[in-house]
Amino acid sequence: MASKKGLKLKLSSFIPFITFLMLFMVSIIGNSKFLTMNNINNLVRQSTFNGIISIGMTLVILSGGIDLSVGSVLACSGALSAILCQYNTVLAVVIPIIFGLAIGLFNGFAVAKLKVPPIVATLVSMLAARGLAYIFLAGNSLGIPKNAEMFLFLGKGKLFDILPFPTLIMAILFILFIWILKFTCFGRNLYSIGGNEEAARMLGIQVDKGKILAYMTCGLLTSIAGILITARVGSALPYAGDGYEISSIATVVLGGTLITGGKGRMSGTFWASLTMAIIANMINMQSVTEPWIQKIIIGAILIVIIVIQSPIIRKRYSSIAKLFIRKHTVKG
Amino acid sequence: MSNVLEMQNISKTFPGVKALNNISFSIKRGEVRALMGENGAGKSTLIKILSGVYQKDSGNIIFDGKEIDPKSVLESAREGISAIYQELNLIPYLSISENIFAGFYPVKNGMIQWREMEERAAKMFADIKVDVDIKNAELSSMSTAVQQMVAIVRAINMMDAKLIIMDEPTSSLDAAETKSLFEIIRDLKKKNISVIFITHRLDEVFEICDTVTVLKDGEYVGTRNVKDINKYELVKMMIGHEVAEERKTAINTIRDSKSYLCELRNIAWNPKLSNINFSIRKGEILGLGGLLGSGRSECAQILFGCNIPDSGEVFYEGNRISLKSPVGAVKRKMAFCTESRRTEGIIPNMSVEENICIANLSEFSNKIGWTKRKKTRSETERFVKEFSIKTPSIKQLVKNLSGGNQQKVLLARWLCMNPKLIILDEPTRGIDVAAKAEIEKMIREFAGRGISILMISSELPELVRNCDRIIIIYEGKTIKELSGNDMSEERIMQTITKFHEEEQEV
Amino acid sequence: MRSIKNLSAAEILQRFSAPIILLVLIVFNALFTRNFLSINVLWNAIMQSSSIMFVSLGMMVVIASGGIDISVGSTLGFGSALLVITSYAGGDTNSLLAVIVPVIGCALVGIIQGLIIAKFKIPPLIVTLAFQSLIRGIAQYCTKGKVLVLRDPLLNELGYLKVGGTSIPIQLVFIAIAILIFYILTKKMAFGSRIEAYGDNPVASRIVGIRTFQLVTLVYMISGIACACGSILETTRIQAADSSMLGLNMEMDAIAAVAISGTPLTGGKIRIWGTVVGVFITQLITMTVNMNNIQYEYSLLLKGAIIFFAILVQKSKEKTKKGLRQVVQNG
Repeated sequence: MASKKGLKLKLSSFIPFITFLMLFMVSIIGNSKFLTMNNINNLVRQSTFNGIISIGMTLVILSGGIDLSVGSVLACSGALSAILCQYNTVLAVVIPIIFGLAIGLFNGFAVAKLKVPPIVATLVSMLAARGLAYIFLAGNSLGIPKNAEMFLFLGKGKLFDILPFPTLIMAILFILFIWILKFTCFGRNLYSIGGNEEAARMLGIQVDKGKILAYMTCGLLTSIAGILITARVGSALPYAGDGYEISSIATVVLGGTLITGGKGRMSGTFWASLTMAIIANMINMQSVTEPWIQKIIIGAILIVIIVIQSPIIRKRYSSIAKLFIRKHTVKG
Repeated sequence: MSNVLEMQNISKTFPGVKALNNISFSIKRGEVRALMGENGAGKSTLIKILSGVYQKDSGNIIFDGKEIDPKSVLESAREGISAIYQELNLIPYLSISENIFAGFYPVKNGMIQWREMEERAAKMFADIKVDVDIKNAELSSMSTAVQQMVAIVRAINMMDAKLIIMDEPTSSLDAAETKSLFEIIRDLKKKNISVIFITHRLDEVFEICDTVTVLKDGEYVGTRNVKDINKYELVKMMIGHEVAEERKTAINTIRDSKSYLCELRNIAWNPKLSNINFSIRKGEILGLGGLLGSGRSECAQILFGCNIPDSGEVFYEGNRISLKSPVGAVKRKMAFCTESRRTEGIIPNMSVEENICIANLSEFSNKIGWTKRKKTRSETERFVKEFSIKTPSIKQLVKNLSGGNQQKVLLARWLCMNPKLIILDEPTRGIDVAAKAEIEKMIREFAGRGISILMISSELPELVRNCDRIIIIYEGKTIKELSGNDMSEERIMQTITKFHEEEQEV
Repeated sequence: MRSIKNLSAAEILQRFSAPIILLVLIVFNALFTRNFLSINVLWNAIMQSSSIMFVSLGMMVVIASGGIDISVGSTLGFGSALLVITSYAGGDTNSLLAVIVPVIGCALVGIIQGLIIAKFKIPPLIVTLAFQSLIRGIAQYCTKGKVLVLRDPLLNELGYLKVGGTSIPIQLVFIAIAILIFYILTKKMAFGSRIEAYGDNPVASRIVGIRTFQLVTLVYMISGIACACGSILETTRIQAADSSMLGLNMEMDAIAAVAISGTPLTGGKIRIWGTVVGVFITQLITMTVNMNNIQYEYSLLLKGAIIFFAILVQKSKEKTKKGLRQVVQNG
């Protein structure tokens, strides 16, 4: 009995990989141009920035929260890096990162200490960051000067002529955070915080600190993505990042992380980000870039996954409700 | 110091109610102490003070030779007091080994040592001779029995607990699991770890406990060696009075003693109820008596449509009904004042007027739904006057009223819709003496008007005073009906213990 | 109710913070913004805020029931697309149809969301977040991403209709109608009481026999219909349907208005006048920023700050009340 349940657990963690594999097969079969170098490059590139942000979003969602500010922080960090790369490449990387950490600190503090609901706190920082992005860029796009080679390499450079630098960063970050979630106290504590916050507190886990760190990490990773995307595209746009919050949430959820937190794997997020890229690729193949198809698909995916997850979530709520109203629960 | 715990003159008061009054007792190392008492006795308050959820108002707690006053569960756990409330302190999605080590992960070079963790967890479970998957399965997929063991194992091994409080640990366990739990408790004794064992099951007290402390109405009744007492004496300590109270006769005599309003037949509902049979006549006050956890509230919930029974039938006004939700119950003019008035009864941020009228809004509104404010106001004022609800105005938010007045508001709410049946679950709990008397009088008046009342109460005198008949429920089964002169606390206690003994003999 | 003079300064600030902010904004603009007090500016302001008034009132109902709806902006865009597309279809009764179709479409959007939330018990935030994207995409798909011009003369005229012979824009009438309808719905009808009860204590509401499943579905339907009305007003005013941009971020303004109103974000008492003031405040901020050549983005900052502080004020109110309460748990 015990081993059968154990097997079930192991199997369920393979679902994101299998989903990716299936879609991969479907694409190869359905599209003759799928395996071309060009297309694979596109695929990889598309998945990179969403992937990096999804790492941070995974941490936040695991801890039981959500971060709606990622799109705006991406834009704002990009704006800062574009402005600063004219002076000093190091500054152009460091300052946006500090900005991302600061926004994360605000989010985490508001959620953990001030007990503001995560949606409100990150909504506020989303508005603030978006406003700042426009202000920094004076409402226009700002191009990266051609002579800022070192900076541009961050986005456009290729290692060994094949591997784009941002993708390398994404790979490193995924490996790093898969490790963090498995082998560090910070990582494992997130599971406890998201799984049963009250219990986590009673177990001696520093819940507030954990949440704040999760949001700060998300801000950090988002700002990194912002720097990289600006370097890749060659300019900073004030409206950049639009829609990134929902696609990263969809990625995290598709990767098997429960939207209410407490359960999920970073490796799932990895496969899910590749899957999302394939889906985007499939859509692009069908029609000339129609941005709305993507919106529809992502919205639909999110709903379907959430509905599928709902029995698990309901079980969690009912089991926790049972604990506090011990003798009986009046079903509502 | 052979005493691991000494409680000295512990008192705790909540607004309007003295929960604990000068409680003193002590527990030795390695002793298994049963803590017993009915609802309102103060057991829950006492263990919450010990585990840091509440703070005592006065008195001293000497634990392990040191005076303590824990301000949080974590603090008391660090002192060595661990409370097991089933799964409360555990994380449902994590494995057993992780649940044991959460917050205390074995770390080397910054990395969590999973293998070491799993090996140690496996050993802990091998020690208590339990075979479970400690590393791959989620805790939520395990039975309650296993989850409790995880909590215990964690308490002994990680928190170095010297006192473990178990709050009704066997209520979700079957016979075999209970046996395992008792083995573990015997093991704890060998390790000199003391246990406070809260239960309502008499046989458990006599099987596993060394001593028993009884609380009643916030007062300390006494502590006895289990060897020196028998079941009847124990029950008497818990629910008996020294002087039997006068039974007050009902106010009015309009009682249709022949016709039935509703009936529960062969009701079973897993896990709490196995065979419930009783009926309520029109205009009568029927009491449901029994020990804590016997399933009385569950009967009420099934009648009101909150839960769907596994088998059996419910009859109402001659027809078989199967309610899927309280909506159907309210439509049939049933009313339900639940046990937790604060969380399930009052709508805290709404006014007295709104709370009273909420169950009967359709009556107060015309066909398109427009609410007649004049009518709601006059009705509310009528009830406030009739029930002597103390409130500065009908617009006062209900959360600001005292417990007794809140209960009156709830009763007014249900009376507003002219119910045929009112189910009351612990109607006077947490209410001061004066308001209590008023409410009891009100209840008797309702019955006089022809409304049937189903009263669930842990206070035997209350039942005896007010009810026309009393049904006794024991562990999910109706065992006896008492009426007339047969209704007294003595008889109720005798019935419970006698049935209990008969069960033992089988 | 205690009379005003018995309240301390802090309490006055807490209770009347919204009207005070409104007053400050008005005074600021009167002093520093050119032409602020001219009648044309006033009418323009009224015309522009008519759609957000509807949406915010719908949001108020959803939030009071304990939920939230961040798909309102997309639904508005969807309604707008439906309106213009229907108007293209030609025919005699077409203007009427062009108004009815968005109402039905947006109501459906609301109903579907409400059903998913009620049936599967999923957090409303996530459902409406998904729909925010889904419906925006559908709206864009309907118009193929293009901005469609409204060509129906009747509807175009509606946008600039004036009351009687005056220069009062018809939108003012619609705003008044919206407030009246919602006032009746939430304060005069049993429905409003049920929503408030459910938002405050869902379990107790179930026990008193409130049909909670239907209530939740209805609440989101109302939000949808409110968005439809808003889309009609907006589309007839700008005389075009921009499915990508119309209603973008409108949910923020609506949430801000409700946050300012004092309606608890976790559900409970509906504060309709507070919401009206809240709408005016958010609109004034937008105006202040526009007319003083301050960048639009500062308005975003300001709105975000206001939402944040409104929450903090609410929380501090809760805390002081909580200190007086104690949990009485006997047994």
